[in-house]
Amino acid sequence: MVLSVRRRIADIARAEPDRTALIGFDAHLCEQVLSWRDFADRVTDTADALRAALNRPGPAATALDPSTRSCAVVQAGNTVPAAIGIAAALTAEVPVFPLNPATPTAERDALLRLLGRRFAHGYLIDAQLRPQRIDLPAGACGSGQSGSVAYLLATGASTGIPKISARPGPLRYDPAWTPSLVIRQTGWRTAQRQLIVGPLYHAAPFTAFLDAMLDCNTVVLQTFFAPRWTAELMCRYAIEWLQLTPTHMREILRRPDLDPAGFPSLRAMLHTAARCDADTKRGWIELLGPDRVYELYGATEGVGVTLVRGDEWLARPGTVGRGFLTQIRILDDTGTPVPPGKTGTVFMRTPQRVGRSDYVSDQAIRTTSDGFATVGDHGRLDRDGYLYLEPRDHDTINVGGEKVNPDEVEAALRDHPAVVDAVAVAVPHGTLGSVVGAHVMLHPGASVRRAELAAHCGRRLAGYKIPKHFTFVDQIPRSAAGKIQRWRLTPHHENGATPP
Amino acid sequence: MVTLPEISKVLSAHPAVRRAEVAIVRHDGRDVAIAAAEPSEYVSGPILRNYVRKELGNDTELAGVLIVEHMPMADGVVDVECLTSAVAEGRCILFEDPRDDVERRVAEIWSAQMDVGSVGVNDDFLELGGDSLSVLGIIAAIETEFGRSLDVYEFMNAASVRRLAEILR
Repeated sequence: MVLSVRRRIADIARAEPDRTALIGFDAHLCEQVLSWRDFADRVTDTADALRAALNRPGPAATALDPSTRSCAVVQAGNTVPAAIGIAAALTAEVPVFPLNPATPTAERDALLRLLGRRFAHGYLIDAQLRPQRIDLPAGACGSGQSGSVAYLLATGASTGIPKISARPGPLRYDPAWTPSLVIRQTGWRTAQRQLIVGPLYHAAPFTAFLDAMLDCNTVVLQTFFAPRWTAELMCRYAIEWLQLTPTHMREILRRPDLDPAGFPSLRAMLHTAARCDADTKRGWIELLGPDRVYELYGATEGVGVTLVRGDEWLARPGTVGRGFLTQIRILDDTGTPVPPGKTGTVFMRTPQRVGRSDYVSDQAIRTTSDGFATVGDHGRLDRDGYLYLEPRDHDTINVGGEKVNPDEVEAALRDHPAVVDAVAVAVPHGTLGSVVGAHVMLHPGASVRRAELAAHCGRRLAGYKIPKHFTFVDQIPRSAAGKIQRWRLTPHHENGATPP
Repeated sequence: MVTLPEISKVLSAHPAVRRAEVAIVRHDGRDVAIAAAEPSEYVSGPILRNYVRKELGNDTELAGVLIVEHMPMADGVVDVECLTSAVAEGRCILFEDPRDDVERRVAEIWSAQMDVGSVGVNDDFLELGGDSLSVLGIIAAIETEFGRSLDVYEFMNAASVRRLAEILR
């Protein structure tokens, strides 16, 4: 039986009024608990307010335009009001865009312009849950983009060009689909207790929140990431399922007080999005045991997914798993399939073609005439169909014709006791074209000489892979998904701070 | 007897097809009717083949539909050489009936679960229009019928009635 969001929330609230729906924290980190009854009431009120705002007559010119359409923008920090705002827009069946509240003005304007290509009006839902009309700069109107939208998400954080992907709507609850089959393979259970660590304006935590809400979960929203707090929340609320990024995973593993017996309630930890380095992966498999660690590789665009459990990964280190309800084909540059073991572009095909998101901005997916699609990742399959990804073309550093995988350099750097995090980038070089440069973040109070870091790398890497320039930074720019925002790192190194 | 122009006329009228041509090609020592279709949106060969069979009857001797980006032409008519090599290289799946009881039972399950009129034993599950729901339905029905449980990976790796029947045999 397929239900609207409004109906589903009402049903849960009627059946389990006193069960906890949502736990969040206010600005003073005081706990806020909402029962399903309270949650449903506040969502309904906000949805009604949004509908009322939409129906208020606007300027004559737009009111007469039958194609006038509106969207809701929610300041989507991990707060109780943000969660209610998102749920309310979905209940009102108004397309919702979760906005990073810390988006710099220029990026925010670019995103609103993208929304303006599709929608005439925007309504900002603030922390007081009052919908307020905002101006969307009118863009070149995409007349070809019809059909209703459930939600929109900003993507492309690792390339620096903002894009918005739209998910066809309206969102519905279908017991057979909510959550999707692949998520249900990762230890997910109806009415579980879930901790959401990543920000709601990012795809993975956002969709996990929608599934949680429609599948009667108790959701704990962590306001911001702090590794010790995450571990504490997992314990305190007996969390059963959570999703993390490799950055979260790395930082939690570094906690000296981490107790391997500390998460008895946890059924699974799923990580997605950014690539995870082997040491971090092994650390988590040791921490939780191989059958509680899951990794999912799949594009936001719904091209296809692969899934791998810890035990499979231990047998094939580095794999992102087998296609789940997904056929994988590796094609060379001429579009011809290549045999197992050979690297090429990863194309995938999945039944969810109808639900595939489209881009409000430029098309980023390439498709074949027989329905395979790619987001441009490179990789290879082994004989059993396990996929291994190669670094993206634009990330590979070309040192005089030698290809350097930045992941390998970064892993070597992170292996140094003084280093918290590191990014390898290409630095222009007169004769070699480029050499490897490294942005390095040290532990507070730690200090290390550049020569020592170079020597440390020299014991692990071939000569051309050793960074020739080191920049010490306070923070590695990463997107909410944990992907390194290489574009925020200039190819030059003169703006680096000196080590303490 | 349905003629080739009738088939191409029906195909060209399909909403996802911009242009279609039909020709007889020689394959495995016999003559088969093959269509080439230039789609305007995503559509698969088996779906178009079944559409023709539905419109013109199941005895329509259209063996397969090749999806092409641009209609291959030679001397003003569709390039038969091009269609012949597509069939020989397996780029155009030909309709084939089940050859034994296991294949027949599997094909019947597919047909019922996906609500597809005719299932060829080499047809690809996704190209026939299968979705997550039909995967679950087929896996459950196979468990009942053959007493063997399948997981989603096994099923998707097999992807055709013939390869699935090999696992079940």
